[in-house]
Amino acid sequence: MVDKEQIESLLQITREDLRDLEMYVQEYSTFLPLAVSTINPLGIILNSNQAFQKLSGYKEIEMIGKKMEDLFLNKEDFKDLIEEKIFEGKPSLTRKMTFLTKEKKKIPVNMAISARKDEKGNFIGYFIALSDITAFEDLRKNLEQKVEERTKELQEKLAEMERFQRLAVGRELKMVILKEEIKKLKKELEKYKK
Amino acid sequence: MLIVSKQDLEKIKRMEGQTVGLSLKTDRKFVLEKKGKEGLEKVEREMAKLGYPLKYEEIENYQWYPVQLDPLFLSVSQRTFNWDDKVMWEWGRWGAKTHFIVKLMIRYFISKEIIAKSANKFWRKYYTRGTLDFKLSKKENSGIVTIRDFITCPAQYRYLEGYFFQIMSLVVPPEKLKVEQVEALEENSLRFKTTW
Repeated sequence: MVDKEQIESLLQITREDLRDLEMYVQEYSTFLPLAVSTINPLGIILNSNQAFQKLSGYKEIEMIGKKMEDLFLNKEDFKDLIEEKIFEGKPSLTRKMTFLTKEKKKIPVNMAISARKDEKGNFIGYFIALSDITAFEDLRKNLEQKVEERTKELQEKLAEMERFQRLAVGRELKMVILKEEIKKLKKELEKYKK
Repeated sequence: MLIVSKQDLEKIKRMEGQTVGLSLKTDRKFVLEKKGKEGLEKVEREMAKLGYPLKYEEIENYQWYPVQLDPLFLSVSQRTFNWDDKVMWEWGRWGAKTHFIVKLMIRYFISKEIIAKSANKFWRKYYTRGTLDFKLSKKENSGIVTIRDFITCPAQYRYLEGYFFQIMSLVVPPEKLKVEQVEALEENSLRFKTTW
């Protein structure tokens, strides 16, 4: 039999474990640089970490209860994703989306979405993680612009070379014709001399 | 002069059971946010005058405390800052959004049916006394919340309305949602009607 003192001691240990666990969850959520949110099957935000709040500009209190689709420019895409559960059977799915902040700023993000299940395997919602790809997109656009500029430069050079080639070939042909002319004239001159 | 009405104080004093420290802390955070440290200390002083001293820093999240500390804090804050029912309602919503227990229970917020089924489990995480029953009427798009063996004061009624509103708004369209206290049909009970 467990006496009262033992029960109290076990209870105290459980309380401490719970407190430690709560602190761990909160610290982890605060530290995690990736924006993470939990939504229910209806797409309603239930929870979000600090990075998500930083990215969106919404405080946690404003965020809970919002429809996740409203935070995307392409909300229909998101809705379809949730309603059709097109990734059923797959552990997760990634999509490029445009995220809308509280200030209505558009941020390109890479979204990873994964279905959540309870201990009995029942579907209970989704985890959503967003990574801001603004820097990557800027770099990509920059590179694309540079490639475009270089291509244009090369095309111009090529056209110039073609012009030059046409000119050079033209001269060459003229020289051949002139040489022929000279040859003819020389022959005629010989005839007159005779 | 008492900060809360004699009637409310008597009601609160008669309450039995315990409440979890996390709840007490969550509610105090609301006052901290609205009125700052000074505001919270003011309420704590009033609570101490009524015979219920408890400092925010001393609250242990997973310790159980006399249940009176919960409604009395709501009531004293309401009177101290002259908050109307709307603020108390908002407070309830706020509580449902920020309470760590709610975060632990989010797996239940997937449908009205699951919420109704797990309602009492939810209640038990907050209080050692009382039961919460949530009956749905699919035909009428409504539900009745009955809290039995738990009597509290009006400040907590509005808080509970806000709390239930917030939880239900996660599964039904909030623009149609309404939660209001209705007449109790049994002794020592509270009833709330939820429609959407």
